[in-house]
Parts: sequence; C-alpha cells; structure tokens
Amino acid sequence: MASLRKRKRSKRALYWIERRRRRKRKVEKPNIIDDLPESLVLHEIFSKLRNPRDLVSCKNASKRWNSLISSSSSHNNPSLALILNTQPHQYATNDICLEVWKGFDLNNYVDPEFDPPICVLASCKDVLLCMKS
Amino acid sequence: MSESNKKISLISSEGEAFEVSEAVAREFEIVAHMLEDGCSGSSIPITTVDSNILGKVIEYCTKHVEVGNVEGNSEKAEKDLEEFDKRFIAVEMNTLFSLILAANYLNVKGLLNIGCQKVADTIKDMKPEEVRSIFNIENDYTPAEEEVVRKENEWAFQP
Repeated sequence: MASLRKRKRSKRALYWIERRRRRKRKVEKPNIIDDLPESLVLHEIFSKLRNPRDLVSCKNASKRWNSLISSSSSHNNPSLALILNTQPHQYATNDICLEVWKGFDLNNYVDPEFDPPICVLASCKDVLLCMKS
Repeated sequence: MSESNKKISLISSEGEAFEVSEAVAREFEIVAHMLEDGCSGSSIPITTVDSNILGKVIEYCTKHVEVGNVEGNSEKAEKDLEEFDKRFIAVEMNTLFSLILAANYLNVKGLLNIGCQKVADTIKDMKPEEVRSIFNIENDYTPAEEEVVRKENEWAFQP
C-alpha cells in the first residue's frame, strides 16, 4: 500500500517536472496560436476541420482547446449525425456510402435537411457516426 | 486621378511606408471603408502590423488585383492564382499566424481563408501529441484528466 502511494507520488512529481520543462521550452520557442482570438480559432480554423477525428485530436490537445470546441456551435453542426441502425446484421464499416447500403432507408434515419450522400466516419456495433460527403 | 493611378501609403507598426495603388489598398476592407468614409488621407497607419507581415499582405493583394485585371483565359489565371496562394502560404507557423492575425484585422477575406485552411490542413490526421508539438501547445491536462478525455473519445483513436 505504502509503495503504491510512493509510486503515485513519484508519478505526480515526474508530471510536474515535465510540465515545468515544457513551460520553459515554450518560453524559448513561442508560438502565437494561443494569441489568436477565440472567434478566429473557432470559426475560421476549427470549422474547416471536416473530420470529427481531427476535432477530437484538438480537444485532447489542451483544456483550452477542449473548452473552445465543447462550447462552440460546431457541436451542433448539421452535417454530423449519430445514427442507430435498428436493422440487425447490417453493421457499418468505414467509408461506406449509405446510399448504396442495401436495405438501409436513409430517410427514416436522418433529418430532412441532412441531404445525401453521406459517408460513415466511424462505427461501433450498430451506431454510425456520419457526415455529409 | 483614377483609382488605378492613385497611390496610398500604408504605414507599418515600425513606421515604414509601403506605397500601393488604391486598388490594392482597397483589398484591405478596413482601408476601403476608411477611403469610402473619407476619413483618411493618402497615408494610412496600420499600427498593429509589422513591416514584414504588411509587405507580405501587400504582395498577396497585389497579385490578386493583377490577376483580377487580366482579361481572357480566366481559367488559367485562376489556376495560376491557386498555385500562387499555395506557395504564398507555405511559410513557417509563426509567420502563418501573424498573416492570419493581420488578415483578420485588415479584413482580407481571401488571405484569412487560405491561412486558416492551411492551419486546418496541418491538423488533419494528427494525433493530440503531434498537434501539441507542432503548435507548441502546453498540455495542461493532468494525466487523470487526459485519460478521462481520451476515454470519452476513444472511438477516434481506433484504427
């Protein structure tokens, strides 16, 4: 138990040492992306990321970026949809175009404003993450 | 004096003067509004942009005005302009961000668009660690917080 606590403490210490080192590096190598106005980063840069995976990478990059993306309207982007397939035995794979997905009636699943063609970006069992292609 | 002959001096933050045609100056929407409102003379201070970046923005606008004035064979001109934009924006990160900031301030929409697109293209297909490294972003997550965010978005990291 004591050794576990010790290991946790040393892990935390290593984290803070690494953080201090990174801060020092940042001073030596300034980068002004964080100086860009939030509206510019959000609307002009993040809105140009077409693949949600890229947005997720940005969310994981830092707390600031995470909160920028989470609080933005890009979450409600109408070109994204999460679709639950209720027809069994028809699992999706990446890059399948739903228009040619046999037996899948797109109109039953998507908002009328969400025009096809739509591509599957990710799938997990019977849930699809789709985007206008 | 016609618009194409009239010269305007744009003064950088260091006080350096760049003489450009009014057509080029009007590519800066902020300057175009000043000229339309008649609230500026022939010298316009651009106090938030340094000489290096102002020179580059002028280069971009000059090229776009030149191509806009070419008659005929517009398809080729557009292709050339696309090539120019690609070459123009292939700069190191800090210059790119300075260009974006300047384009945002001066309201040069085309430049703002290609600059932001370049940043977005750079982020494309990158892992969070690579995003941090290329933009020199400090990872302000604790290991535990990072793990939570990673778990929430695990699907994105699956091959």
